[in-house]
Amino acid sequence: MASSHDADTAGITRRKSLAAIAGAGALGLAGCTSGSGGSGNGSGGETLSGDIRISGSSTVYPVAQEVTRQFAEQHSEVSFNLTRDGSGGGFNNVFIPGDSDMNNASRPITENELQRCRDNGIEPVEFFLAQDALTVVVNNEADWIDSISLEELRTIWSPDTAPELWSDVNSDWPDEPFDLYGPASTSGTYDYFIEAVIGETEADQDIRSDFEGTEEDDLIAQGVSGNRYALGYLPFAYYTNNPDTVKALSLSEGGSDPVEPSLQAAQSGSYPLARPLFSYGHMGKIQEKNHLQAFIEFYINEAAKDYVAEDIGYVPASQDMVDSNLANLEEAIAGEYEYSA
Amino acid sequence: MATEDSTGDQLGRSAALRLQQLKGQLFEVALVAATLVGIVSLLVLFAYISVDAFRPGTASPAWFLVYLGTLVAPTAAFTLYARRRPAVRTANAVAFAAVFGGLLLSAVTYAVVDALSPYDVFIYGVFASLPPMLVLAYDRTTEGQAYTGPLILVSILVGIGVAAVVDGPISGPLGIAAEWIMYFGLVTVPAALLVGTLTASRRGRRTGAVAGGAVAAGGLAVAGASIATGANASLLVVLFSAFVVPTGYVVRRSVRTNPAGRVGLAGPFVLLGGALLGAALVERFGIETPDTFLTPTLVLESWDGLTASNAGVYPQIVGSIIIVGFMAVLAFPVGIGAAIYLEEYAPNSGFRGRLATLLEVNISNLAGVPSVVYGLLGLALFRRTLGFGTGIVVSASGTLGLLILPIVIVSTQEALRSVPDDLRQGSYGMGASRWQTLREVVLPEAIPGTLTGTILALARAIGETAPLVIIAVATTTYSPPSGLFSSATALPLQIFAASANAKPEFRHGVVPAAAVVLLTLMLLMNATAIVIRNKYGRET
Repeated sequence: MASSHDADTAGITRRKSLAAIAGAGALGLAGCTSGSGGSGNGSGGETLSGDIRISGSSTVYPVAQEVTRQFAEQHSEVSFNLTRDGSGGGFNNVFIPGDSDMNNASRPITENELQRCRDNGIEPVEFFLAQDALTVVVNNEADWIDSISLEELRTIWSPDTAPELWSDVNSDWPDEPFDLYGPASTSGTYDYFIEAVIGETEADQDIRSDFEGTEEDDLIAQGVSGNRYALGYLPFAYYTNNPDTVKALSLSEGGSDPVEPSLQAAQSGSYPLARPLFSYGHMGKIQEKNHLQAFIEFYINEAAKDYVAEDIGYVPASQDMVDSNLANLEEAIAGEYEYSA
Repeated sequence: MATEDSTGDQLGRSAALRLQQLKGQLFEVALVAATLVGIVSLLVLFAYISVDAFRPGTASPAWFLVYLGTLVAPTAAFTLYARRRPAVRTANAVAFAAVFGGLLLSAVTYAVVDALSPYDVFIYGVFASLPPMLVLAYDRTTEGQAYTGPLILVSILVGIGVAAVVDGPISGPLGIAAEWIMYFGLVTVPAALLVGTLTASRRGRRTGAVAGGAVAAGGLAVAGASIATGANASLLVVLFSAFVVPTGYVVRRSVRTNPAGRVGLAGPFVLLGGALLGAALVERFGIETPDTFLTPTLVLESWDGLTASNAGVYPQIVGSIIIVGFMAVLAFPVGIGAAIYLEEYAPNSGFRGRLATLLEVNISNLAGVPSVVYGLLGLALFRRTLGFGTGIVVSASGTLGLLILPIVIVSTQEALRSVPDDLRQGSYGMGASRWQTLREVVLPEAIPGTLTGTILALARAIGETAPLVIIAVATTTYSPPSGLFSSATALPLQIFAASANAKPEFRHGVVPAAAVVLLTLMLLMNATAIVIRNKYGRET
């Protein structure tokens, strides 16, 4: 097994010898001694140290996780603390009270959240990191459907119409009842779907209430794969990693040609359900902490790398996005940044 | 007529009897079925998780054969041999406890002290242990000191307070000393003192001093040798003091006190040797090993969310241990104290008696309150009221401490209640005071029950997830918590997060493997509880 850690820090060497010796047990003591000669500190010119706390969206979490892992490998003195609280949960419980340095969000910060940030003397610095394509999925055996329009989706999910049968929406579809699956109302994915697909409703609820809501993408996929007449929506990253379990539908909007969900389509803007992923920094802390500045710069640049698409399944940042993020960071360091929607 | 009547009567009676018997048998069958439903479904679940984690299907038959020959067959044969001979079995059990207890103690001590910084732990250790030892020495040398008992407690608290103040200024200059010296002070010195005292009590002061000195000298020799060979001196010093020394002591004592069972001492070494030999053979002949997720990487590295084979939960394991350890320090004195008050001192009648009953009913109910609610309590208390940061070790330990407090109280009360009243009355009859009765009679009797209950509470706390989510304990960190006021992290949170990973090999490989690690931690705690209970149970 080739070691992928080129920066072999003291901690890891120690742990490795712990492995060797605990495994070898009594005989190991008598016989071998693990010969892992401690190679000193790896690369990295200036030594950064301190802690960085990142809260927020579980959709952005995979990106934050990979970027922090790489940064921690290069700078062993910087310690990270990552939580998955959901976009709103992270703002309300951690970021706005002033506990975290950054809050990831799978939607822009709301008016209300911004106001409360400012009441607490926090200026949120926006970094537009990547995009996620929402994927509408059906059962693999649903042979009557390959594409769907946003208008049809709205009819299916809106509380005003809430059709019982597939044939109520489109007469070519079977006379069978819908079985609907989607993220629970605590999810940023849910918020985005409401805003992008359903919009304003006459009823006093955002979405029809007779669907299975869950926080776990896995359960949505399982539900949809278990019933021929099921329909649900998922983050694209989940679909690319599990393409055999369910069938993704192409989407059309206002009579346009249906577009298959893909990262290219989301990046070019032709796929109608591509949503932005953000991270918000705490300006005061950015000014205060050198290591936080270095990390955010790293984060911004990493979000444009290929592995964001290949391994995580999101649309990486374009060069324009990187440039404007770096500009925001510079303004924040100077203390001149002010958020505007 | 009469005879006919009586036979009919008998027939009727025997039919009724048979019906009764049938009813009894059916009831028994129903009870067995009820028992099996629970146990079998749990077993199926564990088997399912273990198969996902180990993936035995991916190993070659040769791999199974090698381990059958080196590990399973010899261990099984040895166990069978030992079972028939009580003396051998006793020695075997003692050797197992010493070897694996020692290994576990070394690993946990090293991992926790390494995370918290050996210098700080050393300073706190010295300041918390020297004053009470001085008080104890004073107590031994002068007669009739009534206040030394409470003074020991006070001196420990004062010592910790002083350590908190001087830690900053001292740890700087102390940093010049090598790390292994701290471990020597923390582990080897206590081990030497313990061995010295134990030997002295059995075989005279002189021999005791020699034995203690030998342990200390051995520690120095191990440190010297490992520095010379470039190995990790700190870890080897810990292993020597907490594993080799106790194992050696137990083996030596066993040979002396139980010569008939001498062979039994080989038990753990047959197991370890078999595992090592098997590993060596597999390595040597290039036999295909199972493509398991339960690897050293999982236990010793930090998290990687993209490559399942690189993902590790070392910081989370150490974080869980630190949280639960500090929680025990907080919750046990409070819980046991409350239980002793409620059981031994609280009035039974009158207004205050009713108040105490109300309190007890409430505590019993609190034991059943959902853990999420305790999470909210923790958030309100530690974050909002006391102003601690979210997700730090103190908040996490405090929240979980509140969660297990009712369990500790109820189980300790139960243990105190099971001490026969005759013992108390006898003690009072001999003129002992309430405090003397409690200390000399009731508490020693109640120790096994108390320990069992409290350690089971620890095992419950280590698996808690919901309250930690609420107080925003970190899911992912790349290093274990470095102090009581730094970011905490816990294993169940990472398992929960990984179960939402988009890649199937995380959901169906890393998650079950990490769950097996968590279950192992919990089972080790339960095993400790059983060993301690049996030890105390036998002595009293």
